[in-house]
Amino acid sequence: MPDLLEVEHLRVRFRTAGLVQALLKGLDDPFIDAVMDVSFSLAKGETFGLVGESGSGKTTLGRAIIGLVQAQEGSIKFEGKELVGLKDSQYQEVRRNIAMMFQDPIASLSPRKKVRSQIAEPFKIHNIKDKDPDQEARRLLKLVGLHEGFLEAYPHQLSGGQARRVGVARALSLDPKVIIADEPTAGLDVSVQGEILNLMNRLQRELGLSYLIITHNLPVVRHVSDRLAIMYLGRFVETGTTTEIFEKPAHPYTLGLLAAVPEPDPG
Amino acid sequence: MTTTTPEDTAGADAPIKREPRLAWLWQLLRNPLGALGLFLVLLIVISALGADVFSPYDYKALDVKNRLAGPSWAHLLGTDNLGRDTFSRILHGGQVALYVALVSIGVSLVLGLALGMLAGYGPRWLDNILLLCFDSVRAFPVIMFALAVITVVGPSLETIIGVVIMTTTPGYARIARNATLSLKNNEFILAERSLGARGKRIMISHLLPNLIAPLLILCSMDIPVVITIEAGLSFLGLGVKPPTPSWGSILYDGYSFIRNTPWIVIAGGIPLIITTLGFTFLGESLRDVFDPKMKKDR
Repeated sequence: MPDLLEVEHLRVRFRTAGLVQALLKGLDDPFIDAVMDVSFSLAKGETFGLVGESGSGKTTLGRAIIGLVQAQEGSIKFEGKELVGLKDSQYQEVRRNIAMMFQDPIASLSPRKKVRSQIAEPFKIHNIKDKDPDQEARRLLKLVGLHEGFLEAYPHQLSGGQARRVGVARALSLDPKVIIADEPTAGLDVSVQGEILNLMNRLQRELGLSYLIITHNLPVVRHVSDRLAIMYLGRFVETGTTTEIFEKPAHPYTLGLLAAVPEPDPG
Repeated sequence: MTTTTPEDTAGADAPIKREPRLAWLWQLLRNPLGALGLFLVLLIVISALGADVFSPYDYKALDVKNRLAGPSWAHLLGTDNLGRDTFSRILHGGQVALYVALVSIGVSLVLGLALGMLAGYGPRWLDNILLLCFDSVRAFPVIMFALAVITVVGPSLETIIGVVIMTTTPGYARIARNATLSLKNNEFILAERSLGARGKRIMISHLLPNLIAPLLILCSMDIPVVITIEAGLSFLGLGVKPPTPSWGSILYDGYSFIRNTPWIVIAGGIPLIITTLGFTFLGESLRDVFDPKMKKDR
């Protein structure tokens, strides 16, 4: 069976100067490579961790897959279908199957909408008539472990962990196959981080989801990932199974990253 | 995969932080300026709405024997040079002032929001074209622009409203554009796009609710400006046509008799002052309530 998501030699560039400015400054190449020659694949039910420091291009890679930024070269295949070069309108179908969760749990919810309409939003966007959005909202809220009282709450009334659960519910609403989670534990207390990761694990088992987890938090990837890639300055410097990388890191950058994790009991 | 704790819902049952629904009104009233502003605005609005009920006389009725009378129980604020009751004329003048202000500010708000969101969320070239238009219109001094238009089209209430719409819309559009620009890269907009939402939906159901509050506050502060423009043009004889009363034309009528009978000028000026203070206090206090960090934009 082919993998669900296959990324090959992907390259994403950002313009750093306009045409005129580049001419005036004599820049031959007014671009910066955010993602360079990146290849990986994600199988059904698998969790792939993407680790790197700030600015390493991991978030850009995630956004390129969901079509928020354009990739310049390479290919992204979802269930064998090429995504690079699709127009925004052609991306709709993809966005039903791949969902993304953003870093800030509260800021990624529309501030003036109640939880009820946040979760029902995807049904309205994709004009889905055969499901009752209200009932679906209740079902999804229950699925992520929140009681129905939260339906009427606004984002600013939620705690970080509650908002993250609402984000998970929204991401799950259209029964996606892949969830891209950008720093799913950012800004949460350690105990809440654990709860969210356990929730995501449970949902993966129940629904057969595949995760692409983007994080700089090594204990988190170690806890959840089957395989992982270490990203540095837009490139993958090392890929392998989680055990391999944590037991026998090969690249000096990986060694540095691992050494930078604070020990629980230095002594 | 190993699960260290089977429990994954421990923190989910924590209570929701709730605020009472009308908390903002309470906050507004606790501020003395806000309470005063609200009181003055209500005073003006109620007296204008109820002008026909409260007026002791018909505002057009002449009482030639009592010309230029001072305040008395019969005529609370005296009479003008034609013997018309000034109090009744002030009340009806309020109707004209509020009508001009609400219609023109309302239309400017809607137009400004639409154009501003298009400029902020749309493609770069559209932004550039719209900005050029906004700045060109804003370059005209309002009164000069109004005089030019009135000379061509002729004085009327509708002309004033049209001129005010043309001159205030760019200001609203610019604020809406800037707010849109700062909102459009927020994560909730990215999240909407990642779910597949398109431009129209994002603008109407996600940007608009977040733009409207600061703009409504600006509206409240712009209303007295518009009322002053209307009064100014009517004072110059370029506004509403007699016998329709306007605070500006009342001031003008009184101006000729200021040495003998200052009552008319005083009576015409006080409502202008009350309106300006009321709406400005209200607007500033509302701004403090809704967004303590927001800087004054003008």
